[in-house]
Amino acid sequence: MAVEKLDPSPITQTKPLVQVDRLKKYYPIAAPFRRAVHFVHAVDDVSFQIRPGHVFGLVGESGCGKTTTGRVLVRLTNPTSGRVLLEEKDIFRLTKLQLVQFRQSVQMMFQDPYESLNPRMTIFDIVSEPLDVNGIGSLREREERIADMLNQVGLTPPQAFLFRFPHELSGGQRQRVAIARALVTNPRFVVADEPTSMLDVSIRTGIMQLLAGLREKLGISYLYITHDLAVARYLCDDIAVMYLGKIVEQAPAEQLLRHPLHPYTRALISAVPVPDPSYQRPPVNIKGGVSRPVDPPPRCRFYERCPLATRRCANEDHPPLVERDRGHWVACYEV
Amino acid sequence: MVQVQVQAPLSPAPSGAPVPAVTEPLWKIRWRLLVRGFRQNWEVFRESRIGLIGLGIILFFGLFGAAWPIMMHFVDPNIYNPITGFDPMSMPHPSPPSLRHWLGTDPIGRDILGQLMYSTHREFLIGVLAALITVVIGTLIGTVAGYYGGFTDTFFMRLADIMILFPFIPLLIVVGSFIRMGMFEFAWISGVLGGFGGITIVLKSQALSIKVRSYIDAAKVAGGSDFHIIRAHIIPNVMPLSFLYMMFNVTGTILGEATLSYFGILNIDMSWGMMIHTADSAGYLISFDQYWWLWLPAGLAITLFCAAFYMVGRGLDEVVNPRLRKR
Amino acid sequence: MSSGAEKTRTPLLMLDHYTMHYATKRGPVQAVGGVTLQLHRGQSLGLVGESGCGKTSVAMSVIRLLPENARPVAGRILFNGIDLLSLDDEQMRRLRWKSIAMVFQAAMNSLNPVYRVSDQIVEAITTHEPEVTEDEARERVANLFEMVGLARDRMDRYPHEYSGGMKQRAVIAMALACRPQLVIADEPTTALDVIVQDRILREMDEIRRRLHMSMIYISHDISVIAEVSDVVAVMYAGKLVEFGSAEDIFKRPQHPYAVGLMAAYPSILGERRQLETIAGEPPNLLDPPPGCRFHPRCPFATEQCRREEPPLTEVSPGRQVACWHPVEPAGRASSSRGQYSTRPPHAADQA
Repeated sequence: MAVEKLDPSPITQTKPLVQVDRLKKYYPIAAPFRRAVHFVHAVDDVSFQIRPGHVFGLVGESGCGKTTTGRVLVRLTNPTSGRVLLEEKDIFRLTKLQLVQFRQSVQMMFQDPYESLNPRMTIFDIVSEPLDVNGIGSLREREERIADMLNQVGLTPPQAFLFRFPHELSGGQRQRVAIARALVTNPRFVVADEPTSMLDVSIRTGIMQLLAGLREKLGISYLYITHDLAVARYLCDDIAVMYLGKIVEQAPAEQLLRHPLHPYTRALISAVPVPDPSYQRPPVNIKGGVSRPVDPPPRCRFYERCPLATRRCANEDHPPLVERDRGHWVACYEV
Repeated sequence: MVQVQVQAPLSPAPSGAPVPAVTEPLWKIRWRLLVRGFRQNWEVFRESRIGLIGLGIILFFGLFGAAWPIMMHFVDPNIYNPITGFDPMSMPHPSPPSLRHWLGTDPIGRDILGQLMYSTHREFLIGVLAALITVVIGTLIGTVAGYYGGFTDTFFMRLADIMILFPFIPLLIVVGSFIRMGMFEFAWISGVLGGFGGITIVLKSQALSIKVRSYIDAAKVAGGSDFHIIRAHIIPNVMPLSFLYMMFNVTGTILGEATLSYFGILNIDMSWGMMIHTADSAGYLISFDQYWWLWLPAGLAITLFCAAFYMVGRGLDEVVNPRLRKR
Repeated sequence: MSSGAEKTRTPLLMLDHYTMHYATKRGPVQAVGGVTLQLHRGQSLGLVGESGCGKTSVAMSVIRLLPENARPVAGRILFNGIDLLSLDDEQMRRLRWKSIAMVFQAAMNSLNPVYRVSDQIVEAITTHEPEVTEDEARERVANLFEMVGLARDRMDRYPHEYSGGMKQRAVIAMALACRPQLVIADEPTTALDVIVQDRILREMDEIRRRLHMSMIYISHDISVIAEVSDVVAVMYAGKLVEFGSAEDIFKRPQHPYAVGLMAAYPSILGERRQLETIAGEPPNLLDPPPGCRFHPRCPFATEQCRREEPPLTEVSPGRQVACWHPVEPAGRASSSRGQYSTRPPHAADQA
């Protein structure tokens, strides 16, 4: 069983499942007894679309806003402005009934398998929670559904796992439980926040295969958040690279890795270590380090570190994301 | 041919008639898990010598208190009743320990051992009731304040500050002189005051550390209400700490009770503090070697009883905080 | 890569059938089981394996900073010919930092937040080299800062004024303060972003070459190990399963576990090949499986593997494998990376 990818081309005509439209999320920098005057621009004017059955990868370094974006998409936080549409419905303007449906059709997976399961609940109760809180099914039906779910995520036989506690399982098994919980309500869209980054290599591949397999079998779309371009390459159809709250480049996965255009993407790719002792990676030619986007000046976010920066980059606004090639979008004046 | 490619353990859902995965009623399984969890915790607790000693002392007091009603069947209630008894045979009172009165008699001729035994169950009752009230209130407020934050949090935290700073015992002395404060009233007041006090700060910070775990986010994404999250996730994870604090609270309550009884403020027929109060108000607290049986047994009982709950708390601490465990 | 001329001399560090257990209530955890390896002067050794495979235990044994319940059961650890296990605490304390230094996994926490970074490093220098004056030490710190790519004027700041990458650099500077012969770096870049990781790895490698130090890198990330190591030791469940030059290990792995690790690793280079998994999970070291510890997960396991433990045997000069049925590399591994033939010798007739 290996990681296989769907051919992304034939469904280009279908309507997008998720549309993110000019999403902004600013966090005030807390000042007691005063109105906040400084803001962290965690997500700043981000737009993208995810088609049904596709995996959209959001890649970037820590603090680039990728997790915040994911949290807005599942309504864990409210955006400062902008809209998120799921099947053309604004997820922040749902009726009560629609909200109940939304909660079932959108789920999230988390990074740390040791923190994402309540240590005082049995596996049964953990996987059953999304059904419980939405009042789905009778007890009998839930039991069957959960056993089936555990089967599907490779925790077989389910009887051996149902009434154990998280601390009795290994990291990989815990992550499988978390996946079962996320998929038990048959969601159409799942935000996966680095679900493999804390696992060992030999375990990680199994989880990646599981995610890819379930997506094929159940037709789920993912927003896959990761800092690891190599993992994104194996799981994602499209990859968007974020830098300080902005998407700087977006393209089909292979295209992005083979022909990166944005200087930041290039730096990111050449910084990834390669398991080949004789391979000499090109030097990473960007300056400085990532800062926090506190009230950033209107110019290009990457200006200070960019090897290509010109006067224009300093004087004009952050460059718009423009399509350079089919499906390949870049936000840079100089490429 | 063998290949490194190894099948991922992903077998398809069994088709056809599904075998029921859960063959027993859920409550039975849950009960078994509960018993097993209890047993595992007991294994850890057993490792703690201080906890076992504490538990031993509590058990001793339990038997000691339970023995009282049985004993009353064998002795003359006119002589040995702890409140109304009087022994005309061993004058003058207070009489030192003798075969008739193992721990002597008090200034009005009542048997000290009987008083000591009779008081035991009320100490248990006051201590545990007050601690329970404290813990219930503290847990609820702590989790709610921790979970919601903002104004709710600020309000209860400032309230807790006031409770901590406020001179508790003098307040009760004043209150006690206005109203008739019996055993249950005292337990209530002490429990409520404790519940809004320091324990909320501790439990709130625990709730805060749980609130940021990603299983809380998972529950929110699944559509769990605030009530669901507090009930199903936060409280169960705060509970062990609450239980631990309950043990320490018993200690605090008993000490408070003893102090107030000593001042003669509590309207209680008999308690260990009361015994010392009786000796004091009759003017017999003079020196260490004279009339020692009037204050030493009661004082020792208070000290041991409080220490026992504290020691059990220390033992439980090792169950609750795995980091304290010895390998 | 490997410094051939020095092979004839005694190695700087030699582990000789080193075995170590952790005593627990449920019995001994067999964390390190008979590890034998050599590290020569100026070489860098990559210790790679999954969490719980014993790589950190090996490192902590070398610098003797093991928890109280660690019990070295057998074997020797020779540093410049001296058995470190036989030294008393005082002798070890003198050796530590001066000859063997360590960069810890949670480097962020190895700086004391209430002291200036410079003072912490100066103190480390003056306690180990009492003849050095404070001014000399400060000058040395300034040079160290430049070496690890930090501005000189940063040294008098407090740790909280440093970013994650800067803290890591400061910790590396501290490790280099007494010019140790051996530096052990335990997951030195795991918590960092790739761009910072890239810079720090390059700098560490450069410094090692310049100062002709030996280095042990410990990581679960095989690509990091591939980039900075001359020789690589692959560990699994407390056992050393394969040892050899980085070139050999990564291009022609022979132990099925090493083969599996390489095949499971996604790369951003070359063709998108299929990733393969190693079924199952690492064993519980309280009760490791008999025979080869990898046999329950090994696709090539035979009856022999289940019964007898394979010894670490030299299959070619400088190359050791602990396996009854090492995987034969079919043909030269070409530039198309990751295309391993994974056919074991005895499997040919089963095709």
